Parts: sequence; structure tokens; C-alpha cells
Amino acid sequence: MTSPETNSTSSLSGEARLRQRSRRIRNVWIAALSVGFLSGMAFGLADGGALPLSPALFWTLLALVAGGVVAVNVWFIRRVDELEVMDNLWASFVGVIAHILIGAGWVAAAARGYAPAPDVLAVLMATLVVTLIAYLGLKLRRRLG
Amino acid sequence: MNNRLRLLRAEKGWSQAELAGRIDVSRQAVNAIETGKHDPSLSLAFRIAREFALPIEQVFGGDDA
Repeated sequence: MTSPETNSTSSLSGEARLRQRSRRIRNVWIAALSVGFLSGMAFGLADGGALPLSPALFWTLLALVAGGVVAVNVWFIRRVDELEVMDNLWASFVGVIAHILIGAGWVAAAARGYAPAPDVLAVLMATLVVTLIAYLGLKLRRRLG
Repeated sequence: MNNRLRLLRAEKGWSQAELAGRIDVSRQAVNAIETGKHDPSLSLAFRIAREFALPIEQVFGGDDA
């Protein structure tokens, strides 16, 4: 069954279809980020003792969050064009390399007493920052020509 | 790989956004293909050619196209 939106899509101009597609992607991301933010707040409240969170409920929520993250990202990659997929692929590749180098480098430095014990969260944040910089760099390069 | 995309698009009077919407890609992708910064996949190249109702070799060619 096709939705009314699908039926009317063919009659739209190319520019209108482009706007519609961009709006849909933006709305899904806003919804996903909102759910992610609320989940983070809920886990934070549970950690603070304000919300009761049994182990079973914790694992259930974690599985739901993981499933949601995978679903949204797969939907996004399947929806965008090949250039966007390529940019995401390159940024992810840079992120994985950065993760290995930062993690292994920190462990090696800590083992020799040159650095404090590795902090998993710090390595994760550094990986995310490097991935984001790589992605924005690709976008900027494309925009500047 | 050179292509005649900008010329063909101008003949139709389409903006980059108009063509992008028609072939289901972003405006940046159309721009990247037109300026030769991105070689489209075979399926996208066929989609573009189909949009202009032309054989693929009349849109995309070798280095001297």
C-alpha cells in the first residue's frame, strides 16, 4: 500500500522532491537525537537514584537503544546518495584508525608509566571528535571545491 | 571522466537542485559530478542518462568527451 505522500511525490518538481527528502531525513534525525537525549537523561536519573532501574529493565532499555541506533543509521545510509555514503565511509575509516591509534597508544604509554591508566570514555570521545572533524573536513572540501 | 551534464541540464533549464530531486541525489552530488570531482556509479550514471532520455555514452565519455 502506498501512502498519500508517495502518490503525490511523482507529481512534484525535482526541487520539491529534494526539499521533501531533506526534510524527512532532518526530521528523523531530530526525532532520533531527541529519543537519544531523553534516554541519556533517563539513565542519568537512574544512576542518581531518582528512577528505579532493575538489571532486566536496564538490559532491555540498552537493547532498545542499540536497536534504534542501528535502525536509524541503516535507514540513513540506505536513503542518502552515494556521495554521502562515501563521506560517511571515509569519516568512519578515519575514526576507526584514530580509535586504534589513540587506544593502543595510550595503553602502551600507560604501560611504560608515561601516561595515566587509559580512560575508555576519553578514548571514545576522542574517536567521536576525530570522526566528526574528518566528516566536516570532507564536507568543507566539497563545498569549497 | 568528463561529462556533458552541465550543458544538458542548461538545455533543459533545470537547476542543480531540480536535477538532484529528479535523480534522487543531493544537490552537492550533482555539483560534484558536473565539476568532475566525483565519478558516478554505473547505476547512477544510467539514471542520469535516462532522465535526459539519452544513451549513457552521450552523457558520459572518456577523458576527451
